Amino acid sequence: MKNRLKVLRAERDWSQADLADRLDVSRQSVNAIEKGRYDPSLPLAFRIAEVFDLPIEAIFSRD
Amino acid sequence: MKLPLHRLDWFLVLPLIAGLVMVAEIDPPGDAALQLGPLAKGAVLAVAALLVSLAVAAASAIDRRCTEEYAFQIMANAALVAVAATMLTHGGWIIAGKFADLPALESDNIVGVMVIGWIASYYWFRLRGIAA
Repeated sequence: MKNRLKVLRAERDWSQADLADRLDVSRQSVNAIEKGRYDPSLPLAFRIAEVFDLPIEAIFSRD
Repeated sequence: MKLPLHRLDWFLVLPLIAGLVMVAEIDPPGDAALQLGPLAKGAVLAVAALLVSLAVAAASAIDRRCTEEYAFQIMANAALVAVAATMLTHGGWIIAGKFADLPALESDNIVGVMVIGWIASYYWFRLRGIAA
């Protein structure tokens, strides 16, 4: 699964730690999602969508 | 308060050391004070395994609350690897025992293999990720 987390985060000038704080996860989790080493669960994907105020499909897509 | 992932990385070194010690355990089994027949022993073990499994399954809710989702998924994936690694190692040891005069595996050794499998695959998944 691909995601635009890094781009969206950069657009908002957020660090990985900033985003991790907003999502209540560790920076390592954000890093793993960005690098495609971890596909988040549906609840976490919804939280990410809420934080960026975007629909899930605007953030995640199939390979 | 959730356990930070980097602390979990360090904490798991402890069970890894315990696993290595258990694998190397060579104490001969002592004489059993209580003699149980195969059926009674099997029944006791089956009931104990069922009860402990249910208790641990219920207690895993605490793990879910105390670790973040990413860490929990890594640990769950690593647990599957550990079970498979234990069964394969045990099976391989039994088969190898048909051809060579190997010592019997003690329960401590088997638990040690499982712990090492769990921790080693935890670090493997930390490095390589768990994305499908």
